[in-house]
Amino acid sequence: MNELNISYVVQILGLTVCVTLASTALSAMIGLPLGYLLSMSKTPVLRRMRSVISAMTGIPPVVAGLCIYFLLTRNGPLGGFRLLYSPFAMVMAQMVIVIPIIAAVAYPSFMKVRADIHETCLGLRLPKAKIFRLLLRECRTACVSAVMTGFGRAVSEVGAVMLVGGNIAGRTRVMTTAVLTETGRGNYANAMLLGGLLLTLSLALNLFAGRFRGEHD
Amino acid sequence: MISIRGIELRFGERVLFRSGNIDLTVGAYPLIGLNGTGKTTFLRMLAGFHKPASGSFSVNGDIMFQPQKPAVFGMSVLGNAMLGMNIRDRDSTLEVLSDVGLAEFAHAPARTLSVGEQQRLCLCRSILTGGDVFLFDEPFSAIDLNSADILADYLKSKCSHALTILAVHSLKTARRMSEKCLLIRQGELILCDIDAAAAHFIRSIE
Repeated sequence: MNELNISYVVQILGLTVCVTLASTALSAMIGLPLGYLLSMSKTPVLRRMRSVISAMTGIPPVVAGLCIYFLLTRNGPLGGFRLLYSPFAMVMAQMVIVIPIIAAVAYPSFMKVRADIHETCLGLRLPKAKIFRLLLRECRTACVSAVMTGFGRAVSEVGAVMLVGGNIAGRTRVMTTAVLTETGRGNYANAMLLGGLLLTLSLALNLFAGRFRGEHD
Repeated sequence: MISIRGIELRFGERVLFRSGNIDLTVGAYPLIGLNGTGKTTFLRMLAGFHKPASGSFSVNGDIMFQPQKPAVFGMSVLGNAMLGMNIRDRDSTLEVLSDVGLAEFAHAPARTLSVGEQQRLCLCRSILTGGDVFLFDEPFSAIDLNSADILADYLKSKCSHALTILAVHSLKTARRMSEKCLLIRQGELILCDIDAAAAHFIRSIE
C-alpha cells in the first residue's frame, strides 16, 4: 500500500474546497434570485418554470457533466477557450447541478414569507427596495439552508467532475475522485482516510453555516 | 376623503354586500358586522388589494393599512415600531411605545412579545407611520377588553386629524371611538348610529 503524501492530500483538499466553494457561491448568486423570481406570482409560465426547476434538482451528475463536456470540448461552442479538464470546467458542471437545488429549496420559503409580510409592508407604504431587504432578512435561515443543501451536493459530487475534470493528479483531482482512485488501486486505508477528511470538511462547513442559519434575534 | 358609489363586493363567487352612496370625512368609523360579512374584504378593497364587482370608490390621501394578521419582523421592538417612519425619530417612538405599555421592551426582540403585546406594537407602528386614512382590521382582537378600551381612546386621540376605519367586534369599544359606525347587515353596508347597530344586533340575537 502506498502511503499518502501530505502535500498531495493538502493539494487535493485545497482544490476541493476552492472548486466546491466557487461553484456553491456562483450557484447561490444565480439560484437565490431565481428562487425569488419563481416565488413572485402564480402565472402559468412561472408555474411551469417551477416544475422544470424542481425536476432539474434530480439531474444525474453524469448528464450535467456531459452537457458541460459537449460545451467545452474542442469542437464545442466554447471549445476555443480550452477549458475542458480544468477546475473551471468542474465548477461549471457543479453549477448545473447546484443552481436548481438552491432555487427549488429557497422558493417555497420566499413564497410563504412574501405572503406573510406583503400586505403589512404595502400597508406601511414601504418602498420596494426596503420590502426586498426585509424579505431577504426574514428568509435568511431558508437562504442559508438552501445554499448548504447545494454545497452538500457539490462536495459529494463525483460523476460530473470526473467527466469534465478528468481526475488529473495535481490538476483536477478532488477528494471524491481521489477516493475512487485509491479504491481502484486497492488502497482502502487511503480511501477511507480521504473519505474521513471529506466528511470532516463537510461537517465543519455545515457547522460554520449553522451560525448564520439560526435566528440571532 | 372616502367616497363610495354603489359598490357590490364579492369574495370569489360569494356576494358579500352591496352599498348605496357613502361619503366619509375626518373622524373615526368603527366597522361592525358578524363573521364572514365582508369587513376584511372591505378594508382590503379600500387599501387597494381587492376590487369591487361593481360600483366605484375613491380614497384621497395617504393610506395606512394594518391587516388582520400584521407581520412582526425579526428585529427589536423599537426597530419594528420605526419601520414605516420616513424620518426615524427614536424619542417620539419611545414615547408612543411608552403610551401603549411597551417602553420596557423597546430593545427586546419583537418576536419574544406575547400576541397581545405584538398587536400593541403593530398599533404603535401604524400610528407612527401616519397618514390621512387609517384602516385597521381588528386591531384589538388579542387585547384584553379593558386595555382595548384604553387603546381605543388612545387611537382616537392620535388619529383625530385623519379618517379612521377600524373593524371591531365590541360595540362598547366602538362607542368609545365614535357615535357613527359602518354596519354590514343583511348583505348591505350602511352608515348609521352605534345605537342603531346595537339594536340590530339585539334583534339578530333574539
